[in-house]
Amino acid sequence: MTKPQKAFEFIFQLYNFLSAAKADNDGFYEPQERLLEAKDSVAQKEYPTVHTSKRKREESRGESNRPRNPPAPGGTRDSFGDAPVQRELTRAGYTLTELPDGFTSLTPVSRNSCRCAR
Amino acid sequence: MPLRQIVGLTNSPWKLKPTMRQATSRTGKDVVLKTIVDPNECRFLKYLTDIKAPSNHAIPLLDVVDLTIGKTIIVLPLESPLQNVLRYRDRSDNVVSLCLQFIEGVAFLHQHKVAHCDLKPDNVVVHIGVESRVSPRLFLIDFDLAQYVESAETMTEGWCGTPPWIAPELGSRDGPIQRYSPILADRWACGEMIKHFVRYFPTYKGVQKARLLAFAKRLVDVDPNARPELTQLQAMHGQTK
Repeated sequence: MTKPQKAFEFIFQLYNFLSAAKADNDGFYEPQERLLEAKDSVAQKEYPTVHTSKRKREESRGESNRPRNPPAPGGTRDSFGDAPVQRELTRAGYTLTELPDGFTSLTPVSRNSCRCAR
Repeated sequence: MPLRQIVGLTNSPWKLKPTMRQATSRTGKDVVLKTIVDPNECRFLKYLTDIKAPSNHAIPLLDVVDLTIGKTIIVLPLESPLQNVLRYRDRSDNVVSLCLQFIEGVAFLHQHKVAHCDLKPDNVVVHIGVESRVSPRLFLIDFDLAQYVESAETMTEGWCGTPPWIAPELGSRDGPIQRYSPILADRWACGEMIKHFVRYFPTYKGVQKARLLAFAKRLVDVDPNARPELTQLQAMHGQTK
C-alpha cells in the first residue's frame, strides 16, 4: 500500500466487489437452479471446438448454399498485429485500441459454436 | 451502487474473439473490427442493415474493409454485452423490455427469411444511451451461422450452434444426421432465452414473468411443429400493454 495508485485501485475494486456481492445477496433468484445451471455451464466447456463447417440445405438459395470454408484450427489467426494490416486499417480510418499491458483478448465467446459436416 | 456504474464503465466491450479488435473510427466512435473468413456474416449484415425498421435488432454494419492480403474486415458498433447489463441490473425495469426486444428481433429475422442459428446470451449486445431516460436498445450479433430460409417448413441438416442453446431435434454432434427446421430451432432457443431473461426480472414483474414463462414453455416443446410463432408473443404483449 505504499503506492497511492495501487491503493486506490485496490479500494476501488474492493468496493465494487462488495457492492455487487451485496446486490446479488439481496436479489439472488433461485440459487439452487442457478447452481445447477453453473454446473451445466462448466460441463459444457468440455465440448471441443469443431473445425469443419458445411451444412447441406435441401432448398438451396443461390450463393447462400455454398459450402463454407473451414476455419483454421484454433480459430482464425488474429491478423490485427500485422503491420501491413494496421497500415491498411489506418488508411481506412480506424485506429486500433491499444491493449493494456498483460491484457490479451478474452476467451472467444463463441468457441462452442459448432458447425459439423457429416 | 458499484463505482463502475458511477464512472460509466458499464459500456465495457464485448468479450472479443481472437478475430475481433476494438478500434476508434475517424469520427472518434468506438467500434469493433472483425476479421471474416466466410462472406456469410457480411452478406446477412448488409442485407439486414439496409432494412430500416424499429423491429430490426440486427447489429448494423458500419463499414467493410477489404484488405489487400485477401481478408475482409467488418466494422460494427461497440456495445455492452447483455450479461453485463443483466448482471449489473441497475435498471431492472429494462430487463423486461430487453426480453421483448430480443423476441421482436428474432421475429423480424424470421419475417425476413433469416434464421440466426446461434441464439444465446453471448450473441446479444445492448446499446445504453448516455441519458438514463433513453431505454437501452438490444442488438443481435454474430450471423456467422445464419441461413436464408423460405419458411418454417424449410428443412436443413447438420449440427450447429452452441450447447446448451441447441434445440433437441438437432441431436448430438456425434449422433446420426438429423433434419430440422432452422426457424423452429431458433424458436426453441428463444424459449430458453426467455427463461434466461426472466431470472433477472424484478419481483414486481410477476405477471409478465408468468406470461413469458408460459410462452417459453410452448417454445421449448420437443415437437418443433408445436412451437408458436414469435409474433404471437408480440400480439399478446400489444394487447396487455
